Amino acid sequence: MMKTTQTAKKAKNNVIKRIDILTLFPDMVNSAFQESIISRAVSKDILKINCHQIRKYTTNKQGKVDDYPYSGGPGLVMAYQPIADCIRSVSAECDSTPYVIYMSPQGNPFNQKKAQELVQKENLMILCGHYEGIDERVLEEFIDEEVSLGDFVLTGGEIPAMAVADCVARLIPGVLAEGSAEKESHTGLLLEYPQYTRPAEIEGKKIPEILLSGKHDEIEKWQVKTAEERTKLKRPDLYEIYEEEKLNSQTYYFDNSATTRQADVVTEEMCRTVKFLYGNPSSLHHMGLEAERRLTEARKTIAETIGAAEKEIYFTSCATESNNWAIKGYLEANPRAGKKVLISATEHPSVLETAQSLTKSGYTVGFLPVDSKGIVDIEELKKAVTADTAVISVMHVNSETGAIQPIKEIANAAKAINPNVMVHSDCVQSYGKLQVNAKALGVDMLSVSAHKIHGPRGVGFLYVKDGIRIAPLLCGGGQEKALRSGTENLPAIAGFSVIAKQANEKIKEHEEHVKELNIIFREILTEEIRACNVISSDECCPYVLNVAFPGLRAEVIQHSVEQKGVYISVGSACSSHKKDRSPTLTSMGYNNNVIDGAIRISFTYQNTAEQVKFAAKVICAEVKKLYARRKGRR
Amino acid sequence: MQEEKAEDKTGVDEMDRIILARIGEIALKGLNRCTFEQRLARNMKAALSDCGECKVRWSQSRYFVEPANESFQFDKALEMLSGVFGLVSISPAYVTKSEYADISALAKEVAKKAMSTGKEKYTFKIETKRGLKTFPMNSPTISAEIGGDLLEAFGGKLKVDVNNPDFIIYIEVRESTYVYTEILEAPGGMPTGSNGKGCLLISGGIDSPVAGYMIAKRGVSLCAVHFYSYPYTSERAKDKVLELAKIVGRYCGGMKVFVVPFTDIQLAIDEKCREELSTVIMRRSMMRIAERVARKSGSSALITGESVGQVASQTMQALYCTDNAADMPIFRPLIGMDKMEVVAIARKIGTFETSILPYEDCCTVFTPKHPKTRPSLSEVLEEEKKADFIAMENEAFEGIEVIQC
Repeated sequence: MMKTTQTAKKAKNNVIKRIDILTLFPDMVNSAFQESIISRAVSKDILKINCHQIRKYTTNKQGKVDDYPYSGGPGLVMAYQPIADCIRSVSAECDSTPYVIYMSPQGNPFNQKKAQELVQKENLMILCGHYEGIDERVLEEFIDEEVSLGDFVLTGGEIPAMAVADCVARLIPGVLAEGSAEKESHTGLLLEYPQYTRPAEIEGKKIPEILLSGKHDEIEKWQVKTAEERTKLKRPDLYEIYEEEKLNSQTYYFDNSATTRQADVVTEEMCRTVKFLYGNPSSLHHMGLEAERRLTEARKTIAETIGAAEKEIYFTSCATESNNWAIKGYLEANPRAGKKVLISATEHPSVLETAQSLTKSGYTVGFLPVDSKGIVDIEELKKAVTADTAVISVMHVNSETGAIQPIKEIANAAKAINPNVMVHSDCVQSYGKLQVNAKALGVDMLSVSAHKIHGPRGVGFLYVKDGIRIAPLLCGGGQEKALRSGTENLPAIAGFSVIAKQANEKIKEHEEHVKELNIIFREILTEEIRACNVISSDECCPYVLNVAFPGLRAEVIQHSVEQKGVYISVGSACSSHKKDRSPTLTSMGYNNNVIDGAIRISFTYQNTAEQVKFAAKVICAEVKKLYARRKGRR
Repeated sequence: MQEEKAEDKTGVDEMDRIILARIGEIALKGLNRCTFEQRLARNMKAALSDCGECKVRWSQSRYFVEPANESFQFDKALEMLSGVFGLVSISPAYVTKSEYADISALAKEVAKKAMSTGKEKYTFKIETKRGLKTFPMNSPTISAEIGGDLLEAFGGKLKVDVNNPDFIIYIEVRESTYVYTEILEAPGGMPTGSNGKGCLLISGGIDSPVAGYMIAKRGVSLCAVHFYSYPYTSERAKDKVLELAKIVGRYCGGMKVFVVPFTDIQLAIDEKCREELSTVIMRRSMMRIAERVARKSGSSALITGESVGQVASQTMQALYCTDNAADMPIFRPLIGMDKMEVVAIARKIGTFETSILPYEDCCTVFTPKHPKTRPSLSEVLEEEKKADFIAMENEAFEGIEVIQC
């Protein structure tokens, strides 16, 4: 319903004044507009409706408007000339170029939304076809849009034209009594609530009591509730759209580093794959081959996004799997590579815990310290790398702060000392957001997950540079070059490839947009809250903004703002499973007072400046409240 | 599975399987015994409602669960009954006519089943109870005769050992005869609903669910009050409490949880009252609200998980102050228990794993650094005047959300 009022407002700027209907049966159409509300609109001069006889424009003596189709077959086709002349002549009468629609089952479906679009065209011309149709060249030359009333066939376009004209006309302000179009069926995506008229009781049937209560607020709530209920029951398709709009309009989601909303293009691709490509890529028959082709295509698409070869991409179920496999799999396949594993002090648990688990097998784990901006110190790295260093793993973009690690320098510096060291990077937070090129980064392996860039859950990949040996993660049917057996998750992989391509093509565009959002957010917070401590530096990846409100508890801030529909995450503890502080902020030198008050705001290119402003205002308001309360404590 | 069934067909008919359940304290009841018995039968039926059709009847301190057809889920039924208060033990048993030949044949089948664990030799004994006094042999004779039949049937594989046998075959000769080898423990106590209703203050920790269980065991129906401090605690913390209520509810026929919005009261205490007394003042406010809920829901006592000295708010002095806030008895079934004892029960009743999930509950969020361990009632009452508790508690009471668990 919110949507309706918006469109209604917009409509006031530009409203339809004139409808021209081109037909072979003007009497039939005219009769419809001489009754009820439409005739009132015409007599009040709010709207002009004219019908034009196409036959009048024919140059041929017999008044013939149609002829046999070239392709043969039954029926007659309306000819080009009379229609063309009719359209040209009527257009000349109009104040502005009319928007010409042709009624045809091949057209875009007509619905309330379409009506709201059409009501904004100052001049609308509706061409009604008849017989077998009209000469295709008319469509090419004159028609702006084909519109269909539904999936059925009528003898001519007159009845649909009448329907369209009626529906559009009643949206013109002043045609109906003020407000009565507002809550009607479909306008607000919901069907109308039930209607009753006097008497309040008839044949033992009573109207709902609430309608007699006189409580307008309650009645309005009842109307929305019943409208929702009956839409859900009678038109689940409409209800789904309504639910989505409702969720989107009330949700300010800034936790995109945790996960993102799956893009519709991904869902569509996945549905297509599920429905049509359900063969197993390993099967020898045609359906297996079709599935395998899709898999190969997806692998190729994804390989291209990081400048790798197809054979260097191994699909996994998530980045945690990729990270585990990269480190353990490498060490298993290269037992003589060394006994030391170096990771940065700010790694994700899937790298940190993996490395720590290796201590049981005789490996030592070294932590590369970071500076106050969270960046690995290259000099420290040089000191740490020895001939015994087998693996270095440093994440590209930190998930908590957005700090971008100089992966290339790290790889170069490490390899200068020990050319055999395997350099791995967890690129979960950078892929699709910054340029991630395997060769440019100089890494041997890198991990990626799909769901951080509006892709599906349950799929990711590990890039393994050609020539680097890795032990199989899963043994079995030989999928993924026998290194990661198990039937491929084709729907997710296909969906991933679609969004991977899209995201990587628009990296610059998205980054600029998100950077703007990040700046707006930052400015509002720092201007309004003096105590605000911005942890993410200007050089950080703009998709993440970590700010601390010292003395407050991030979890409380998070719960306070979620009541207003704003979703952010706590800046440090990484999940609901663990209560400990993550080491990232600690290793950057922050004290617990700051860390406990740190929140993480993470963006997607789908966020808008309006959303950012709203969310920032909500956070400021709640933070101020929390600080004020805190003063009560001694 | 198929094979097993085919084998069964030749021996005992699965349809002749029933569940025998024994009662404890109810048997000691006087003239009102039948109300307890009826209540227990009702509770058993409710517990078995998801297991399929069956009949529950009782006679002479024994309850009999008789499946109506083959789709009855026998193992699930055993599990469900082992949580019904009022029962002390249950046995899956086979039933046959009270004729010596039938009993002997059934005993052989039961022994055969007991000997299917892969051992080479088994020792056994037989215990007989003869309720049917018209049966021509007395109990020791039946045991001896049937024992003889078994030794004859299984020859060298079987031996009698009355002190430490591998299995015992129990034979109960009544109108029909029941033969079984297993006696499974049931919780004892009194049938739920036979002893009125109590109102449990549930927090999400380890103690309060156990306290609820202990009281429920005595036949008390429960409802619960939870104090919710959103946004200072999370929705997950609330879900956790509801989950705990569901688990405890399994033992007492479900419970309603009254979720009280408590944030404003906590903030007011935090702001206006002395920090070292804030916990006691908070507990007192909780008691007052809980008492109103209790009266509204027809409960006649409050139940808490407090135990002497466990934390600052549970010292004798603090408990004295808390107790004073309510005009209703406050039962504290864990009062003399150690944490380890409580944990053991929590594990047994299945609440422990949920209780230790890491979401903060309402007790821990506003914890002062140095709470007073020996508060005096007069200073607490004085401190309480600083905030308008009546108004705030009215508002909290109005805002209660009721959830059936």
